[in-house]
Amino acid sequence: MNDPVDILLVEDNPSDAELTMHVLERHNLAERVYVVHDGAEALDFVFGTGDYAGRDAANFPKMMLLDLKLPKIDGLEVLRRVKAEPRTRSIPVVVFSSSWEDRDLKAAQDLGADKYVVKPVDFAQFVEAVRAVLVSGHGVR
Amino acid sequence: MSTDLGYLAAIVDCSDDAIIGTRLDGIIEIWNPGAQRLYGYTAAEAVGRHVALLESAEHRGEIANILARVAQGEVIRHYRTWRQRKDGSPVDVSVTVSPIRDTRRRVVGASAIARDMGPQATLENALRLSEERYRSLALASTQIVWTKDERGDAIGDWPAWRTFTGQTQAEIAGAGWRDAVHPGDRENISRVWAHAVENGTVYETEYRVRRNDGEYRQMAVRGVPVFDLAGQIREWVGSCLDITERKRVEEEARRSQRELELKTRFATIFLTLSEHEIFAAVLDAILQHMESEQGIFGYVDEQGALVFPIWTWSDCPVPGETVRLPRTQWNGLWGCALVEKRPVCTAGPRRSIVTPILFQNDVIGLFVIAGRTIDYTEQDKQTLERLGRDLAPVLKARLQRDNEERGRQRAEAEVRTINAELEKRVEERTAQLQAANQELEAFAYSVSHDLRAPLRAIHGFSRILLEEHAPQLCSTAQHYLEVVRANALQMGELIDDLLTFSRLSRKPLQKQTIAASDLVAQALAELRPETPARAELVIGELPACRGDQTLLKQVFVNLLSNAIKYSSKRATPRIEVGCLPRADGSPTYYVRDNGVGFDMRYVHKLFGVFQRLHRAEEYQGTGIGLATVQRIVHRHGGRVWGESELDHGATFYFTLEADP
Repeated sequence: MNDPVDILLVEDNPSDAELTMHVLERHNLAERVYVVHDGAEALDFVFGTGDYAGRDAANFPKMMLLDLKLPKIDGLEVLRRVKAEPRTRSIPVVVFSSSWEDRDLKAAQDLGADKYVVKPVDFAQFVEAVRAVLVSGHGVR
Repeated sequence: MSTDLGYLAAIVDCSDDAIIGTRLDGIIEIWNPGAQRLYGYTAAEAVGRHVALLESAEHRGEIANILARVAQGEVIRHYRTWRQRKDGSPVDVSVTVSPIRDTRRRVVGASAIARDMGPQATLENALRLSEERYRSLALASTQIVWTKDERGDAIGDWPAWRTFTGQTQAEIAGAGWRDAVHPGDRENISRVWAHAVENGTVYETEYRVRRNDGEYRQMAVRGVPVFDLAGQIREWVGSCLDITERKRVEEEARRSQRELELKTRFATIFLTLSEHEIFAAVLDAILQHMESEQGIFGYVDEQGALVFPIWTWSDCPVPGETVRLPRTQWNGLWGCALVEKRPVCTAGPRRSIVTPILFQNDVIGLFVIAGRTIDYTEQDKQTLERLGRDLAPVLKARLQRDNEERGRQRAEAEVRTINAELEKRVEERTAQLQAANQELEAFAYSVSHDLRAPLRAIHGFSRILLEEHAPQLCSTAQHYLEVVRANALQMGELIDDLLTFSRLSRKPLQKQTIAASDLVAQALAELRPETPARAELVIGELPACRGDQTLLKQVFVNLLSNAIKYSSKRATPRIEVGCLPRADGSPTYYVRDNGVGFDMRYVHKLFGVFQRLHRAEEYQGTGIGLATVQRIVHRHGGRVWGESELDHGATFYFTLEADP
């Protein structure tokens, strides 16, 4: 539970989660990927609350891969809370959504998302974005 | 004129002077008794002879000379000379000769007035002339001249009075003349007379005198005292003048004036006051004019009922309220007046006049007046009839105007009701549309998220299988997986296109001036990867228009993309962009290619979503490009259509709003 995490993947769709994990592994982008399945769980994980009470909250993931359409608390709200909290503000967040909607893109940018990647059928763009964020450590704003 | 001639004849006849009329050649035509007295010839002897017969030997040729001067228009005044009487004796005369002119002012003769200047004749003449002058004056005047003594009794003969009243001289004598004066005026006469006599001042009054036909005539009377040498009043001389006619004319003028004022007041009332005010105001004016206390004034409404908005009838049951009488209740006095279309008048304590107001022989209103202290006369009835006639056109116009106004208000109310209903329906429809739009949006949103997720899984996992597990798969299995992956990709494109299409429909238009040639350049740049190098691009002159930059670029991209795609198999693909000459100011752009074209039989399917006229193996596409074009053009208020002949290229046209 207190192991350092490279990437926190917030994804409710198990197929998407599996595919994403596969791509990350195949491209050696992260060894330690932790998957949470809704917004509430994501926030608990980040802040060490709820089921994750006792987790070392200072041990932040290197980045968050955040889906927008999530059960319980949606992705934008998760993003807002993470970026509103001084301790967690520096965690790079790549919004990884199937939405093309301009309003989602704009909302994510306004809330401080570091990248916005539309869930691709082809993963090339995704891989590039994740790599860029991981390499720079803080993502490219 | 004939009276004047008679007058002249009388004057000529009774003149003491000799009055002779001659032609210019000197032949005598007129010879009055005075001439006979002076010269001794009778008219019968003189008329027809030359006037020179009056010349004495010493003055021979003088008359011819005078006539010649008169013929030139000259008047010879008081020419003193000697003439010769019939008996040969000379006579001293003063002659005044004047030209006689015809109606065209031509001198056609001469008139000579000769006066005997002998001393004796002069004296006699002076006396006689004075008397004659007085008598002539009395005769010539329309005034009745009288002479009275201090008591007011008649002196001498009053011929004019006799003629006027039919009294005899004997009846006039003394105070008898007073019998002809209206009894009601006699006392006043005595008083005024006494006052004038006492003070020796002018006697001036008016009284009525019974004319010989029995009618009393209004006379203006004026008399002055005549003093003797000792300064004592010797007698009174005066005259009476019949001023009845003058009075009548004056009264008529006053009445006309008052009625004119009343008409003006009516006009003002009808023009300026509101419907419920006019009736009171008009009635008030009429009552004032007719010096009456009570009145009713009403009009006939559209249903033919008599309506009285105003009612100043003290003993009527419903003062201050509008009374409506249907035609069936038109009875009594009013009914009579209304049905017979004439004023009806009653006398006595409940005296009244009922006057219908007629317009082109239709009863359009009625007024009743009552409550005057004295009975109404025939004249009052005529006055009211006149007022009714004056009122009729304005009342008619006003009633029509009010009717039209009411009609207009009814129509407006209907329009308002219909508008309100329409607005309500539009609101409902709008709400429905908004709801539908929201649903559509939610649908599109969910499509973009949820529909794509399984596709990603299908595509992603089949790709992993193909890339990472190929060795374990036979070639058939690999092929099938490839098909699965390709279809998943295709489905993804369909969804993306559909989402784009949906987004285009919802995105608010941001209209601005568009340089169409720039848009075309941008679109072609975007399409360069798929444009064969050998393609010939012809860009005509493209006028500016108004529209949404992004959306219109999409239109050009889609049309050009089609043009490139369907002409790509030509040896020399030719793509032309242009604009038709503007007929009504709005530009009609077109994109033309020399490609495979389409069958005009299917033209109606061109712009449908997912409609394709070519097989996917031949030309790739989702069948949404033209649907998008149409949606965008329609949203801009334009039209889009296509023309083609199979295998001979196609042209797509669309219209837009001109840049003002």
